[in-house]
Amino acid sequence: MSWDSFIYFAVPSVLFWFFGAFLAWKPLRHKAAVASTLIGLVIFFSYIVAMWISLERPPLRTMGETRLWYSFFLPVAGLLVYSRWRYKWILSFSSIMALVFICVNLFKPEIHSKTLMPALQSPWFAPHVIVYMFAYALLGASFLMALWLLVRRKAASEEEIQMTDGLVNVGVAFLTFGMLFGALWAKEAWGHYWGWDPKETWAAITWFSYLFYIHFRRLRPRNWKAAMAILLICFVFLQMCWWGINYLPSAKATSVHTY
Amino acid sequence: MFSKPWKIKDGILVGCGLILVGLLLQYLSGRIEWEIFAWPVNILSVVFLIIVSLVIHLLRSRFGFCGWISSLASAVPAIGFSLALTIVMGLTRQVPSQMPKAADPIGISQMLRFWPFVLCYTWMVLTLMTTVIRRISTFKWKKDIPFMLSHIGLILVIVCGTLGSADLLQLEMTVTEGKTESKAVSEVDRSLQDPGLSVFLKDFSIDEYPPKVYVVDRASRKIVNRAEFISAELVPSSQNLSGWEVTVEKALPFAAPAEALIRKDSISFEPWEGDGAVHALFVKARKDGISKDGWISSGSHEFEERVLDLDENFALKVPSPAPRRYSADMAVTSRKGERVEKTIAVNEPLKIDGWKVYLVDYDNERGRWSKIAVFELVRDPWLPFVYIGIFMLLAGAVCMLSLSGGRKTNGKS
Repeated sequence: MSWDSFIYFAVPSVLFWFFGAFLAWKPLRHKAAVASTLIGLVIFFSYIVAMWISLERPPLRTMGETRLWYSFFLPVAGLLVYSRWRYKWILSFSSIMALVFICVNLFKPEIHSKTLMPALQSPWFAPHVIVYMFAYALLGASFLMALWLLVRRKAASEEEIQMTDGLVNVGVAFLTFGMLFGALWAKEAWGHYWGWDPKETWAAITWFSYLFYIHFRRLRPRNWKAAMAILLICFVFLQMCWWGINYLPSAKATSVHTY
Repeated sequence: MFSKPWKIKDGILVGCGLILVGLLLQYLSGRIEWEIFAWPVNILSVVFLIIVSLVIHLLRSRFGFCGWISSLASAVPAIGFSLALTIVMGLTRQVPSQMPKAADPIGISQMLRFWPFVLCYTWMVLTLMTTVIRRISTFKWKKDIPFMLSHIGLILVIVCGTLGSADLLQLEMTVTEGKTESKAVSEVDRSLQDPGLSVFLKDFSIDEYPPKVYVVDRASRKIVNRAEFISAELVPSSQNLSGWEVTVEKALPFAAPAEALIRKDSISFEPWEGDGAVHALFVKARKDGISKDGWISSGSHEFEERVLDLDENFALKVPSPAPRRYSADMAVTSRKGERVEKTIAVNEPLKIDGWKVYLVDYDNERGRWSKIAVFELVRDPWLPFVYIGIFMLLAGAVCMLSLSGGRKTNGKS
């Protein structure tokens, strides 16, 4: 098994995942949505197993190989959240995110042979990045929701605001996982759990800004416009943390998070 | 202003006041010297914070301030002000805390030692602590557990992380292969320290990625296109590099030039496992009927790097491969008589007698032939409390998932 046959597994998996995501929006189709996502996962996992056997080692060494696991775990996380809490949108999100990583593997194959520096070779690597990606996706959705409500609506319905709150809450929970997994990993790799490295500083800024939103919502539940404006700013901080610091003079060349 | 009950506006005034007082303190007394919080000052500070919070809680209906500080009208501006100062920190280039002073006249380039920053975070911690105490007094299991987990968790992480940093020891120790070392230098002030451990380095080794062949500029030897290379993991392997059809025919991971065969412009390599052995590859390149072949090699402290000239502008080069993993086989004995023998690597530290030993570096000049390993020795007595805080926050986040609006969606769908 090699990367050449990846597409024959990737395409059916993605089709099953999107079919499941579609069913999740329909009332009374929970079981079918779960089943479709599961079938996609089985197909995808069989490719990982086949790679594992043919490489005679777990496919976790190159960036391309770790992306395989993201693409696998994203629908797994989506499925877990969906089967427990029935957010209609969650499977759509996890499927789109998985598709992005699959596309990178399909269209940018040269990245497969990129080497992984020793600090990155840790069991924490995959969970740290996966939960962050998941959080970013959810908070990105809350940003779109806030933008739409601010631009298009004079009055937002209770349901729309609650959905935005829901996206933020789940997003912040995943953001917390990502940040703390990072702290636990840093202790093993660099000797300390928090170093106020620019990436870490901006991760703290992002985290506190969403906490600000959550507490502001409780303090002023009726002032939804200000709350949505806060969400827009929060997302700017998130972008800064994700890639903006690479262009920030104060952070350039000082971050241990640039690879 | 400041009439009972205090509102968010009063909170904004408190925040501005703290910044002003902080600036004044910074001006009068200089930056915060966290070192004075070393044991037992830090534990006394924790006790002091708890007593202050309890007193505020008991006086909550007598004074507007005491009722306000455990309310959302304090929480929101406290987060806001702390956030604002953290943003300033994110936007200014920070000077390491060990440096004797900040790089700017105000002190914001050492934000962790900047009074306004610390005062705003202290305000946030007091709000957290008084709110937790208030909620404990009306505790309800189902409703309050997620709240307690995340808020107490955050208090533990901030308070123990900050005050505990005064007791944190970070030392650096360099050990030569086959030798024992028991002295280390402080990472803070480079002073000589005795960690009470003796470290014996049996063996240091580097496992490398397969070497890669690149097209480089002949004069500067800089890589033309980082995305174009041949990995010598499997030989023979061919690929088109900048228009040249390049084949790696032979690969020797440990090699030396065969002296007898050195001629003016041709050189041969043979397997050799001695100190300073290089990666040698036999490569062929073809373009428009022109054909070139020859040995290229990475460099070491013993042998020069060899490239193969393709034309007047370009050459083929094999840089020293990146390390995949480096490890130190070692034996550590503590003064108390505890002994640990282990191979440690990046991400795989060793634990002994309250210390954690990390492999951080080696002699980069000699690469895989490094005879030394550089270790970091860390002792952080407050770590268990920070970890309890981290795990409480994680548990709080799990609760947040289960409580956030999901049931409503569930009910409707």
